[in-house]
Amino acid sequence: MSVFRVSMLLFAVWCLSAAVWVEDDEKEVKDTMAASEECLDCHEDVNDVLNLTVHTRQMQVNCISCHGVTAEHLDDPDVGNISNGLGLEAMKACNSCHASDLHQRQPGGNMHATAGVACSDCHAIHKAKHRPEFPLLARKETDLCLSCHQDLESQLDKPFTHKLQHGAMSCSSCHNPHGARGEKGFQLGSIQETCESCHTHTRGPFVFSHVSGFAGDCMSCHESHGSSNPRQLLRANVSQLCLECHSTLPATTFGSQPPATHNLRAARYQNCTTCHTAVHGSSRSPLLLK
Amino acid sequence: MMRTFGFISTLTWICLALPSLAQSSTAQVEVGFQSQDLQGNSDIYRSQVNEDEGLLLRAFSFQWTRHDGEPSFFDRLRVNASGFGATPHGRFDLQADKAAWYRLRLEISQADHFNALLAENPSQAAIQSTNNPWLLRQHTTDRSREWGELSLEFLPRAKLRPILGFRWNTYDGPASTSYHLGGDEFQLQSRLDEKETEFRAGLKYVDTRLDAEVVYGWRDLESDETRTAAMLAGNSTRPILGQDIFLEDLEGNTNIDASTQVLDARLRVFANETLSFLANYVDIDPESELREDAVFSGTFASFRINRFFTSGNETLRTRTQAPSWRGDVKAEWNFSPGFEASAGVMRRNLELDGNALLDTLYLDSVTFSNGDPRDIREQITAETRLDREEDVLDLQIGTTRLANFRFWAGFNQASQDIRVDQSLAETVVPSGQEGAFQRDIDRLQLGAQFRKKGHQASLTFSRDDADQAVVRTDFLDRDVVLFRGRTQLIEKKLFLSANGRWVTAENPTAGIDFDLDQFTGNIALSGELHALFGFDIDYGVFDLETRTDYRDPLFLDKTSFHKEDGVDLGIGLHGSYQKYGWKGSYRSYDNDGLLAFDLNRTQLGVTWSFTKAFQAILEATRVEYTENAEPLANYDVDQFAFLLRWQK
Repeated sequence: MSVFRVSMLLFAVWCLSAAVWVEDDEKEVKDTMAASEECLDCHEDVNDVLNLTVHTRQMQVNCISCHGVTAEHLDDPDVGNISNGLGLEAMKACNSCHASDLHQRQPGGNMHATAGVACSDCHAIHKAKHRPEFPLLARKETDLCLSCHQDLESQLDKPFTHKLQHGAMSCSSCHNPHGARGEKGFQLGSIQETCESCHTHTRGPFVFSHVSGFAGDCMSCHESHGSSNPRQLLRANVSQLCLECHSTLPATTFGSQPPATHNLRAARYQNCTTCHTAVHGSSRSPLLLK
Repeated sequence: MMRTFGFISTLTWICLALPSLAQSSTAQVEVGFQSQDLQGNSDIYRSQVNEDEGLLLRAFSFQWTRHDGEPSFFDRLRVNASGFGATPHGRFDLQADKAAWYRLRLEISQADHFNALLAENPSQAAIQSTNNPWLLRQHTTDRSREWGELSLEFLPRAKLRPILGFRWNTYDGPASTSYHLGGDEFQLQSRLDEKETEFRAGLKYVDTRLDAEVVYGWRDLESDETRTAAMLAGNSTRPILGQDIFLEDLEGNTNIDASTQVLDARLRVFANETLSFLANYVDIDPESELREDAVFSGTFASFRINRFFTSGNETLRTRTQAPSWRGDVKAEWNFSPGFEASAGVMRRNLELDGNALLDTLYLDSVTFSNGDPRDIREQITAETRLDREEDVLDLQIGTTRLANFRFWAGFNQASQDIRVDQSLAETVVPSGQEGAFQRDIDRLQLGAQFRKKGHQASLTFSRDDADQAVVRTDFLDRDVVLFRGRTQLIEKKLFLSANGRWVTAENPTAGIDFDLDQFTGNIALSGELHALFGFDIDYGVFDLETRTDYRDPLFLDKTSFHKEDGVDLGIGLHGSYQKYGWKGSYRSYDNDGLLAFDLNRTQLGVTWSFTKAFQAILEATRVEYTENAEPLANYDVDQFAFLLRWQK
C-alpha cells in the first residue's frame, strides 16, 4: 500500500474521529478584540473579518498587538498618529512573532527584503481575499507572485512549462519568498538540489557525472519557468545545445570534442541524445550512452 | 489522470469529513464533469497539456478553528485539494495545529509525465518523410510521479521544540529508450519503479535573543528498471561489412540503491537591537551502488574489439560517493535609524568519487574478416574524481526608508576552484575532459525604489565580471537591468503596471565569441470599474538571441545561432449581476523564432448561484497549437466542464 493511500486512510480516520470528539461549535467565537474595543468604534468592519483569521481566533492577537498603544491616535485619528502597519515598518511588528520563520536571510539570500518588499505586500492581515490559501495571502499564490514578477508570465504561457497555472505546484515549491540559503531564494541550497528534490532520477550520484553542479547546473540546458522547446530545453536543436559546450575551440575550457565520425549531416547524429541517452549522468557508460 | 484508488480515497475522506464540515468556519467544494474533443496530434497535446475527460474535483477546501477550550485533536484544521480526476496534476495539503502542542503539515502532489514527440529533436521532424521508424519517437515517457512531505513540530510555543519530518517521492511507469550494444543503438521498452524516502528528526530552539535549529535526515532511494527489446533493427541503416546488424532479444535489469545522510544546522543570535549574526551549516553525504545485468542476442558489430558477435552478457557493479558541505556566517547591522548593512562569507565544497567495474562477455565473436571464432571477455575499470570549492563574500548596504525612496547597493565576490580527474575509460577525443579550472566573479548590484500610496517603481542593476570561463557558455561580462512599476490610475479601480528585464552577456574570447541578448517585458492594465464589469489586459514580449562560435565534429568552425521572438497577449473580462457571474479570457503566445509556433487558449465561463451556498458553473475552453514548420505537430482541443460549487 503506497504512502499516499496510507495517508489518505489516516486522514479519513482523523476526520471521523474529530467529528465524533469535537463538540458542537455553535458557541459564539470569543471576541478577542475586546482588548481594543475603542478601535472598533471606528473600525467595526475590521472585526468581522479579523475574527475569521488565525491571528484573532487562535493567537488572540488584537489591534494593539500590531499597531501599538493608540492614545495619540484616539485623540487625533490621523493615520500618522499610529503605527499603520504599512510597508517595511510593519515588518517589525510581524517579526516580533514570526522572527523564527523569517530566519533565512543569507548572503545573497532574501531579495524581497533587500528590494523593500514588505509583509503586507503579499499577506492580507485583516482580510485574506483568497481564503483557502495559507497564510493570509492577498491573492492566490501564483497570481500574487506574478503581480510583481510579470516578466515571467510570458514564459509560463509557453507550451513546455512547469504546471504552475494548473495547480500541480506553486512558486514556493522551488522558491522561499522569505529568503533561503542560496541565490534566487531557492528552497534548498542550490538550484541543483531544488530540482533534484523532485526529479530524483537525475540526482545520482553517478560514476560519470555530466553537469551535477561542478561546472554548470540544470539551467545550463533547461529553462525552468517555461520553454518553447520540448523538455524545456534552451535550444530547439539538441545538437546545437550540446555543441555550444562540447567544442575544444579554444582548448582552455572544460568540454570534450565529439569525434569526426559524428557527421552531423546524417540524421542519426543530429540529435546527440539518440545515443547519449543518459545525459544527466551514468554509472555504466563513460560516454553517457546508457 | 488520477489513479482510481486515489480518487476513491479522496471522495471517501470528503464524505468522512462532512460532519466536521458542518462545524467548519469556511468550506468549499468544486466538483463536476469535464468532456474533451481532441483533433490533431494527441501525443504532442499530451506532452504539453495532458488533460483528460471524466470526473473532476477541481477544488476542495475547508478551514475549521475552535477557541472554546473544549477537547479536540486540533484547534485549527485546514485542508486544500485540487486537480483530482481528469487532469494530470493533483495536489493535497493539510495543516492541523493544536496551539500549544503541535503543528502538522502534510503535502501530497501527483503528476503524470507524458512525452512523445514526433522526433527526438523537433527540428528533425522532417525525417518523417524518410520513413525511418527508428528515428521516430525514440524516447517516450508515460510515467507518474507522486511526492509528499509530512512535517510535525511539537510544542510550538515552547523554547525547545522537537521536529519530525518524512518525505517521499515515487516515479514509475513505462518508457521507450535507446540502448548501446556493440557500436549501434537499439530501441528498448523500459519500466521503472523508483522510490525515495527521507526521514528527518531535529530540534529547534527559539528565544528572543537566539534561535537555532539542528535537523538530521536519512534519505534512501531504491530504483529498479527492467528493459526488453522493442525494435529489432538498430540505427545502422545499412549492413556493416556485408553483415546485417539486428537485435533478437534482450533482457536487462538495473538496480540502484542510494543512501544519503543530511545534517542541516542554523543559528541566529541577536547581539542587541541593531546587530545580529546568522550561521548555517549543511552537510550532505550521498552514496550509491548500482548493479546491472543484461543478456542479449542478435548480430552486432563492435569496433572496440574489432569483431562481430552474436550474443553476450554484461554485468556492472559501481559505487559512487559525492559528499558536499557548505557553511556561511553573516552579520546584519542597523547602524543608524533608516540604514542597514550586512556582511557575510560562505564556503561550498562538492566532491565526487566514482568507480565502476564493467564485465562484458561477447559470445561467438569473429573478426571482421570472419576469422578466429571465440568468446571474448572485456573488463573495464573506471575511476573518476571531481572537486569543486567555492568561496563567496557578500556585502550589502541600504536604506530602510528615506522619505518615499529606498536605495541599496551590494558587492558579491565568488571564487570557484574546479578539478576534474578523468578516467582513462572516459577518453573519447583527448583534451577538454580534465584539468584544473579557476573562476572569479565579481558582482555589483544597485537598486532604488520609489513608493507612495498607490504608486511604486523600482529599478535594479547588476553587473557580473568574471576573469575566465570554465565551460564555453560561461559569460565574462553580464549586465541585468530590471524595472518594475505600478500605479493606480483610479483609486482601487484602475491599475497600470509595467515590467522589463534586460540581460546581456558575452564572452569575446577568440573561438567562443559568446553573445546573449534577452528582453522580457510586460505591460498590464487591470480594472474593477463596477461589480458588473472588470478586466485585465496584458501584453508581453520574450526576445532572445544568442550566438556562439564552435567547432563541429568534422572540425569545421561554425556559429550556433538561436532566436526566440515571442509575443504574449492576454485579455480577461469578468463580471456579475445578481445571481449570475461570467468570465472570459483569451491568451496567446506567438513565437516567430527558430521553432515558430502559435499557442492560443480561449475560455468562457458562466456561474449561476441558485442558492447562497450552491453555484453551477459551465465552462468552455479551446486550446490551439500550430507549428509553422511541421503541421503534423498541430492539435486543437475543445473542453466543456460542468461543475457544482458548494461553499459555506
